[in-house]
Amino acid sequence: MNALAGLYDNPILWKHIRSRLRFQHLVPSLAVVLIICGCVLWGGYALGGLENGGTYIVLLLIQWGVLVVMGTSQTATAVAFAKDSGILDFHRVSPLPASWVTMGFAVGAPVREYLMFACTLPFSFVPAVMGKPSVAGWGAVSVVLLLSAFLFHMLAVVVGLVSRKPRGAGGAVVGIAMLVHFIGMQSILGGASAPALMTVIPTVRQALEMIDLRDKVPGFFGMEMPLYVQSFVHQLPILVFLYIAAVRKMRSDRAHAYSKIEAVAFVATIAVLALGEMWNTTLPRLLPASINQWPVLVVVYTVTLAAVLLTLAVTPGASGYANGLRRAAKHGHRRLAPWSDLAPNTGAIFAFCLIMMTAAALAQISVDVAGLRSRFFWCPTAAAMLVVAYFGFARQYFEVNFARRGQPFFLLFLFVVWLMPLIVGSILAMTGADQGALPVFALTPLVGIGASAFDSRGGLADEIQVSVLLSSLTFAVIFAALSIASLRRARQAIEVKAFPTDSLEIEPASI
Amino acid sequence: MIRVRDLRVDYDNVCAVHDLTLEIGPGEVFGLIGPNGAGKTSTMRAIVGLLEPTYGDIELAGVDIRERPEDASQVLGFMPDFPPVYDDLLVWEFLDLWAASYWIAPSERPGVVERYLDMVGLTEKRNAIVTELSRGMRQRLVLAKTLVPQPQVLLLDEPASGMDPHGRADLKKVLRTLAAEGKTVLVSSHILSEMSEFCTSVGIMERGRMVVSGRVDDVMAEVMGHGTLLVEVLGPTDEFQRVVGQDARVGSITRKDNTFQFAFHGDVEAASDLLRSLIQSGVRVASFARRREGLEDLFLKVGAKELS
Repeated sequence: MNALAGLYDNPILWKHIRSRLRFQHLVPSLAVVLIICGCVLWGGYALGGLENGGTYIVLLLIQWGVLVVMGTSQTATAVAFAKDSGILDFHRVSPLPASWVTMGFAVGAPVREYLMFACTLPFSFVPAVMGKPSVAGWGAVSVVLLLSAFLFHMLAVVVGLVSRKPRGAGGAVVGIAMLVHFIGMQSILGGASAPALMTVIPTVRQALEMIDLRDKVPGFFGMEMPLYVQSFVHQLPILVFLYIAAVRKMRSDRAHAYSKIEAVAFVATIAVLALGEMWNTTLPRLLPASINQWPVLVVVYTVTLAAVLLTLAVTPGASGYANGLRRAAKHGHRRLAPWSDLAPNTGAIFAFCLIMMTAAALAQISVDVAGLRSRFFWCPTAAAMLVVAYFGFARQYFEVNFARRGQPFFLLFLFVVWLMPLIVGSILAMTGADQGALPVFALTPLVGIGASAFDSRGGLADEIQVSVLLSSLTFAVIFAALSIASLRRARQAIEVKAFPTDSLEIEPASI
Repeated sequence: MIRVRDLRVDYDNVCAVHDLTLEIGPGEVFGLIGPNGAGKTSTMRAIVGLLEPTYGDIELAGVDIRERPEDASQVLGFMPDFPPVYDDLLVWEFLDLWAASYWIAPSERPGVVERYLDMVGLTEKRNAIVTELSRGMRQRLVLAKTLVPQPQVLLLDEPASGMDPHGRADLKKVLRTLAAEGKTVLVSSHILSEMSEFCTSVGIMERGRMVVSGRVDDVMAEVMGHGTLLVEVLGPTDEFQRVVGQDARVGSITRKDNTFQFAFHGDVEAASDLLRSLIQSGVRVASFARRREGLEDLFLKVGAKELS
């Protein structure tokens, strides 16, 4: 509510309205859009493209380019330059709430693009009146495009706030947007529509009656609903969590994008969205019937990806952890509250694993309901939980033990553990040692989680399961031990200075 | 007023500010001086809330910045060493943006904008685009932006760097006016000769610690003694050396030809008495001057002491 209230008389919004809607910049931009749209419409009319939806698709591409590509790039660049120049610090020390500043940038920075988009609407409405899509479809697509664009604009604010080089921020976020659209298009073919629902693609397909019944999106938790409603259901929670990250980073440059509680809530939300889509689903036509754990795998991989990304967001660095301990020591405490931002990520990791287990179990129940009973759903679930655990512990260990050098060491570790098996497995496969290649492939969770779901009646299935589970368990144990040891060392180093006499309480600080 | 207690700021393994305690009262202009890396900017950024300190309590005009950050920002004006601006705004639009950000009513904003443009001498540039301003003009514009909310507490980091002599003169005038109005000003600068013209108090930081702080006169007296006397004598100097040698307030003497320089632990009255004694003893005094050390001498002396 605060964010919406902050749109009216928002100084940042007005700042952008003034700077981006100056006559000399606005008129050429609008003229270009109007001329292009006019030509497309005329061409479509002349060539009969209004009836079959062809003209509309071209106009939609123009709208998408203006709003998603140009608007997103503009937003990220504006935020990144404001951060780089230091003027964001002025906003941070002003009484203007961070939520207002965030909304001011998210809505204001692409204000010229919104106006350009508005100019295209009458042109895109003509095909809706004279041919395809229907007027209702046109309305649904326009609204979903706006919401989807705003989602990417909010993402652009976050990227602008975390980017180190302002000039690259626009390109980076446009790259992410393109990737999401590409994955979205591919995922529809694979039967998982969630990435596509972040975009306008499914709504467009439905509006233009391009949806193949065999690709039919199964609703949300089995509930039938129009695709534009499903798009809202998927986009709104993501938008809220992007907004939270943007506000936190807007408030403080050094803050984590999420608190641990927020990160857990985010992973839980992703799990609910994945489950909702997979609930009581049917097997997509492109997948062989033997992959009967496909819904479980989609949920497990989705939650794993979310957990891994959010682990990066909530793991404190050596400096942050030490500062937290010093702050706690100043108040007479030896430990940090487990859910404080500067506390180790252990609690969050356990919560992620718990979410994984619950989501996978629910997915399995849904599969059972759909008659796709699978015997080994526990295997990818266990592997994924171990992967999330060792990823989190390793990240914590490298951060605390190696401080600034931790990042490259961590990346090296990931390369060795996640990518090397792919390379070695490929070489083995090429040399004809197929039997040895599969267990090697399974060492990496990228393959191992999915491969472990194969029915164990097949010859190599046991070896694959042992390979993925044993490697994940080994790493989880090793990095848990290393992480605990390095955290203890860091704590002792602070305690020696802070508590020369051993007389203080052990109660954790709520700092 | 600014009240800082036990402030500590850490970056990785470096302690940038070490348990700093500081109190600056209303009407005081406090000069924070120190070499590069002493912790001045970290202190300022922690005080304004841009840097979360490891620990420590900070109050601005009685408001705890951690408990009530939005209230604290209402009383605070901050000007960093490099003035960031929105290049794509007009000068008046830039000030209007900040007036709106500090909740100044829309009807009052034009008047506020004109007043502060006038104060910093940018009225003629009112409708210029910010990107056309020189660095000194941008500095003035940011100073005007800092003053727009009429803050009770001002923190200025190197405010005069990049300003022309006119700008510096205006800045001094503004700072004196603010002090006279009872505002609390914390300013850091490397131009120590200018700081001495408007600072009522100083603090010298070295490696994250406040080495010495207090009112300028008190700190000078504490660190530098009460000053140095320079005396030029004509003719024989034996009698001169006998008279000053007997005076307990005279410190070690250095001589260059017939000019003597020595530390003198006495006030103006005592120096006058010494001059009278010299003349009554028949010493032919050609010149008698009291040399007053500036902040640069103070800084060099404290810095050298600290480093040794």
